[in-house]
Amino acid sequence: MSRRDSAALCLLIGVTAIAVGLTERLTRFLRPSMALWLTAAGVVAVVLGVWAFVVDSRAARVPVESSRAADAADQPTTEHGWASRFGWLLLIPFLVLTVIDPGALGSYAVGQQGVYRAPAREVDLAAMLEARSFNDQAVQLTLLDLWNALGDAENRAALAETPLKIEGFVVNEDAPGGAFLLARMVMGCCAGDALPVALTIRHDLQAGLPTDTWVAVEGVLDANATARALADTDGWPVVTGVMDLTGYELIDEPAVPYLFPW
Amino acid sequence: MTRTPVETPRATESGGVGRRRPRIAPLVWVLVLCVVLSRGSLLARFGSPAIDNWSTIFLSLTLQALPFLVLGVLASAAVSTLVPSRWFERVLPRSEYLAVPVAGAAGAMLPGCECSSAPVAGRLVSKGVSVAPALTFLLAAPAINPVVLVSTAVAFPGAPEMVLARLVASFVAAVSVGLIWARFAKPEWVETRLRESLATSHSHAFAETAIRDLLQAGGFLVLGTGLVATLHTVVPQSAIDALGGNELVAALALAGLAVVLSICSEADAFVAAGMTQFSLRARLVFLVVGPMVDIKLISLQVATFGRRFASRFAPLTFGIAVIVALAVGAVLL
Repeated sequence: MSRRDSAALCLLIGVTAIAVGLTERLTRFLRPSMALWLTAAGVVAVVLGVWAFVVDSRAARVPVESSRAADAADQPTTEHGWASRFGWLLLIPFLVLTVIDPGALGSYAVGQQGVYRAPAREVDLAAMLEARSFNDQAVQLTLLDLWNALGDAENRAALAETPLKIEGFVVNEDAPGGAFLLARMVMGCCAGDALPVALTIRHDLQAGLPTDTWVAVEGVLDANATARALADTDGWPVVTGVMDLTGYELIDEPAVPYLFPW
Repeated sequence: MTRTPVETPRATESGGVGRRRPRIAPLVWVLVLCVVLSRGSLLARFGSPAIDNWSTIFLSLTLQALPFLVLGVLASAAVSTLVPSRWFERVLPRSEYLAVPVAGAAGAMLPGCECSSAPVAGRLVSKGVSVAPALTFLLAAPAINPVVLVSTAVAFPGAPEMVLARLVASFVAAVSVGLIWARFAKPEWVETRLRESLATSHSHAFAETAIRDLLQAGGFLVLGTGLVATLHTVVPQSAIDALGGNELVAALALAGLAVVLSICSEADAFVAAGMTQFSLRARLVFLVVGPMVDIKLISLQVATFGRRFASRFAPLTFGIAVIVALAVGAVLL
């Protein structure tokens, strides 16, 4: 690979990294905390690329000893020897971002990726309910909060009487009749390991909602159906609970679409 | 200590003086430009939820790995160009067999993804570190560093013994592979494909080396993450779930899955925690095998040490990792 090609590839991968690290695209793929590291990595790649563009590759080299003749013959010149051909593959991330510019994981991943089933963390439900309720309106919880809270049987009883407000995106495929799934993806390290956590929302809406629409759903958990759903780990889809819809509100996709267990 | 010969690849990239091969590179750039300019219509015709899903997973795995890859490349270029050649020979125990566990413990100093350990190990070999300790370092670094252990603790809050089991099993496996390699391996199985730069200025050599390693390791990384994204998009988890049953079969299935999924060692604990159909022992196998042998790593090892090396090292590591993980799991879990 020539000097200029190497330089250009370093530049492109660096620009790709910076274009994600510094923009709202970051949270579609990675945790927000990766912004600095990704941008820094991009800057390093860009600096290396710029250096390779401007450097004079005929810069002085040590006199060749006969034992290192093979090394001397292989020294990078302008035309060749700068890097292996596999480096060309670094065009792919650049092209994927530029041409496809994909969004965060959505309904396609629900059902493909498996289901989030890490052990529920212990929660102090009373404290959580108090912290999240405003006036007499529903308590706003995330699907992950719900997953953690429902791990405890006592919490299930308490939650069953509380009006809840939960955000997520709609998934219609595999949902039982008269219901849709409300899901979000839970991310450990990056979107590559994200797993969905979902709730069955029973409703009597005429038209239903399109898949991948983001909504804030208000409703009440059906305690018995939820207990059955939690016990049924072999069925498909696996949901955290079953809720009866009392109202909903269309929302914009959140700046950080994923949920984090830690 | 035995030193492996530093082989340089033949300089055949573009032929010597006087031989003109048609250059494909300008055509590639023209194609790239065309693709970028016509992105709208390309997307309209070929876009789909599956493509979107693939792209998101591919980009997330690649970009997640990139900072660790860059860090590893910078560290390896530093080792190569700034550290005097004889330093490592002086620092490590003379006996290759003693150097192996020391190198394994040193692996804990390089926190980060497995992407960073292969270039550094390659540089260590070219600097005079014996192959066996360098390989032990390569295996231990992704598996026993503090970040991985913390993430494992968080993913298994009800089972802290998983952290200890992972640490012990990974260290023992890495050292075992190193000792076996020291005893039985032949020097000609390892081809050090990272060439020495002869530039007089240290910074020139550093940058040149960094660029070369970044492009090579980066290319292989893309191969690995592309394959993993394809598997995530095409194979539904429900197909894997059916394998629950027999303990040994489950462990081997998870070992195979770990090789195929190539998940970063800081994240695999969460994926493992979600596989509630499998026992903790089977999942320990997943966590020990993954950081040591997977498609992404094999690609990087081929890039750093050659195909003859990888075809022997990968099965050896896989076998040792599975056996040690099962043994440690039987005792600790």
